[in-house]
Amino acid sequence: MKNKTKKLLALLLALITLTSVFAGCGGGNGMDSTLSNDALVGQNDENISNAKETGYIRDKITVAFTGATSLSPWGTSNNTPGNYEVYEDLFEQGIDNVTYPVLADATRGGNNPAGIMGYDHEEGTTLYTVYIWDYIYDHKGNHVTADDVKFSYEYQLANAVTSGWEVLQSVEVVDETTINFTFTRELTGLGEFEQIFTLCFIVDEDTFNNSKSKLMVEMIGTGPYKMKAYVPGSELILERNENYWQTNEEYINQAQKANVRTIDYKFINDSTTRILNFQTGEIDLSDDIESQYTVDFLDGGAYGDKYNVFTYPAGLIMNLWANCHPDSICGDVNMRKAIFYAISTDELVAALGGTDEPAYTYSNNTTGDHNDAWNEMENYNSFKGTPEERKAIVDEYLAAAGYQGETLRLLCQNDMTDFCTILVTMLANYGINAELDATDHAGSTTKEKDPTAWDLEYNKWGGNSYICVKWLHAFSWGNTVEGDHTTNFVYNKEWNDLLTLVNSQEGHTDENLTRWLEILYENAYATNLYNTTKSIIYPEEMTYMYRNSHLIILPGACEYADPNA
Amino acid sequence: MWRYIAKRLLWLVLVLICAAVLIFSIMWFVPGDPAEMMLSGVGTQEDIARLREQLGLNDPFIVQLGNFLYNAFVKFDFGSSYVYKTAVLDELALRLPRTLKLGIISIALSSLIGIPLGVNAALHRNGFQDQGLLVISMVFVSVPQFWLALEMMLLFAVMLHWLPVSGIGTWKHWIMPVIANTLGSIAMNARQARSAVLETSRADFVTTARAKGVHERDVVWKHMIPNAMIPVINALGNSFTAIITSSIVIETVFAFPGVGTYMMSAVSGRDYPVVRACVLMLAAFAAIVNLGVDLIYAYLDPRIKAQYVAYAAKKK
Repeated sequence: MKNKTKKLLALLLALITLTSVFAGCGGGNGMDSTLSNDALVGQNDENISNAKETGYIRDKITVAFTGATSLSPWGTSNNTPGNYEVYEDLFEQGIDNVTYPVLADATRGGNNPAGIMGYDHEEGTTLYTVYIWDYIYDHKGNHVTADDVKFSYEYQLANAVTSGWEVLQSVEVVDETTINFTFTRELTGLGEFEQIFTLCFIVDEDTFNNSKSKLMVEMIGTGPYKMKAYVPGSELILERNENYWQTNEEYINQAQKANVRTIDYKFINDSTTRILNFQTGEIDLSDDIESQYTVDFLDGGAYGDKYNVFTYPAGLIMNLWANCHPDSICGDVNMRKAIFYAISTDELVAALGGTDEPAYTYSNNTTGDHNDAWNEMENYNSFKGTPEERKAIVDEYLAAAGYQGETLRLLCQNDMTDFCTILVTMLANYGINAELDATDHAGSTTKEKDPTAWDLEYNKWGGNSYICVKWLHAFSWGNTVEGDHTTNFVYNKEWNDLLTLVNSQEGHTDENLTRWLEILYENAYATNLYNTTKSIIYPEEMTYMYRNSHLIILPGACEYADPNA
Repeated sequence: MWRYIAKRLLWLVLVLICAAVLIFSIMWFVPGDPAEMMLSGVGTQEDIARLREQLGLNDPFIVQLGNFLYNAFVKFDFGSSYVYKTAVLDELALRLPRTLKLGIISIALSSLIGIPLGVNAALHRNGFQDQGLLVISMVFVSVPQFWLALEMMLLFAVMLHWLPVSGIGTWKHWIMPVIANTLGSIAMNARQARSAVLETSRADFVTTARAKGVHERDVVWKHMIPNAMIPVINALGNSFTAIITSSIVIETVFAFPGVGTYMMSAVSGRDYPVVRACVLMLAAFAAIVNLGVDLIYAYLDPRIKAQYVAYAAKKK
């Protein structure tokens, strides 16, 4: 090869290498976590939980949002960005589980067991009479009345996915501001009132009928923000509603405030892309950031002067189920105990990088009914012995189960294969053979119905402020077609009845909750592997962050400091 | 020739019907229930059963398939997305132009840059242009698209602040997705053009032209390059189809709201109407591009056109 060509090639290769190194330097930003979980949690801005009205109106905030699907206001599991700012319910529930009236008239009613203003209800009956303000107007200027409440409830029930609404019998208009809701039974279950009255946005009937898309690609509600622009799959821009119907400051709740003129939601699914957007200053706020990505945004980090980080327990139960069907190898309680004792939550958290929290009970402290004493109950979840002690217990249970080295099938979803590989390795360390059966979410929900198709399943449960409701989601007999067992084939009727009891207002006692947990551990039906944490990256100027009971941040309801003050 | 085109268009319809039956059947047999996916963790078995009924998922396979084919090919209606709730065609009408725009700019750039580079390398075989092209093209063919995209974001957005990271707001938003989408294709086209020109340069008609004393410039431009372009056109057609159908990666990394991201979320969420419509649309696109490539072939090579005409005359 000629010298000239060699030099040229060498130069070219050097340039490529330099470019990669140069670009790779940036790759270190925010991607490597060297701080412990304590450090991450410790550096949360403490002021973020202290509501303090600043009176400052911020010009614009850009928010990264992951799961944008439809702008539709309908459905009880609605997670559309901005819906909680554009639309309003009769009542709202705060993150503290306190229910308060919004469209419901806060000066009327109050004759009900909970003493909440805006409705009347006599104990023992199925009638709930709700009163609404007589001066509610939507963004089109249409007067919202009791007829629109009836329309919204009936439309949602007939046309959208609703959960827990089968008890709703009828909605009748009494007069322009009074509506009678009749149910098939009294709403005595935990959160049942909120499931009906805080999960239906009220839409003006004329507005809905005049909307060409039937509000699928436009938003017209009564809230403190109105839609300015929408690019499906890309961006949603909201602007402050200067003609907001509620002008009486006394009755404006934090959620109804509009402390930002323009809210720009950008739909970014990829977490790396979201972090890069923070680094360039193109977004100001994002929830659901995995904690290991936040290092550069903490105090002292490269972007710590522009942003703060709020790390919180994500509230998920990271669950390992045993298939308790008699035909499964895990049908033997000794086998199940051996498996669960072989898993150390502390070691799991360490293997995951240390940003999550160990789980010592089948619960976590994000729920209002959690009891810290459960962490001290003696069982496989709370076991903190040495590996040798752990090994001795596992061997004992394996011997009792007559385990001969059979291979267990661990069902897990594709995105969790790395984690499940750690689990398989952990079991192998204690002489338990397991293999992964990875599939997508839809695949695993199909396979789990077949008791011969799996032995262990890894999945996660969350999304409610009561631990007993999470348990219900996971172990309700209603989850199965046969209706006489749980999804992991537990046929224990006493346990199921107790689950129903703890999910009623009168049965929701610490004693019952503890007894339910005891049965779970006595029979080794499942184990909690670890508690995840998530982070919110928010702008330095934010002095108070408002999150509703669905843990959705309402940027307009947050408080901001004047950067020039 | 027109008869040939008409015949190919009829085949296209047949291909689309087969693709429709295939994708419907695959989605039918793949484990996973859309109703369960939508109500996972929030609904009871009764809720799920009610939703299955609403979505028409309880009908027998043949009834659902018949409904789908009738609606798609007769009424041109692909239904509404289970997740987005909007008509699939409306959503595609918004997203397809973005994906196509990205693909067309990418293929135009890769042709305008890749082919001349390849031709130049072939004409200077073993020279520094040739060696340089081989090395660079090998790098860009080997580098995964997502890695290239992330490195570009770090360099041009985070470090240099020249370009925005993601989105589609302004023309600046398009630069990085286009480049990330194009570099691999430029490399492929350059290598293809180089090989084709080298192959042609050894052909008898080129030797004859040179022996006749034709000026070297005319040998290259009138004899070598037009003949070398036939396999290149074929490769371009394949590149174009590949760029459009593999747009998922680039669209996901750059938060680009095109067909790729739409289809990706639909597959994992078992959003049947969206998956079916996207696959059919991509199948139609691939078939149309192939038809276009065949017609350009005929235009460039009189021998191929003569074959079509002779075949048509024989049929008469």
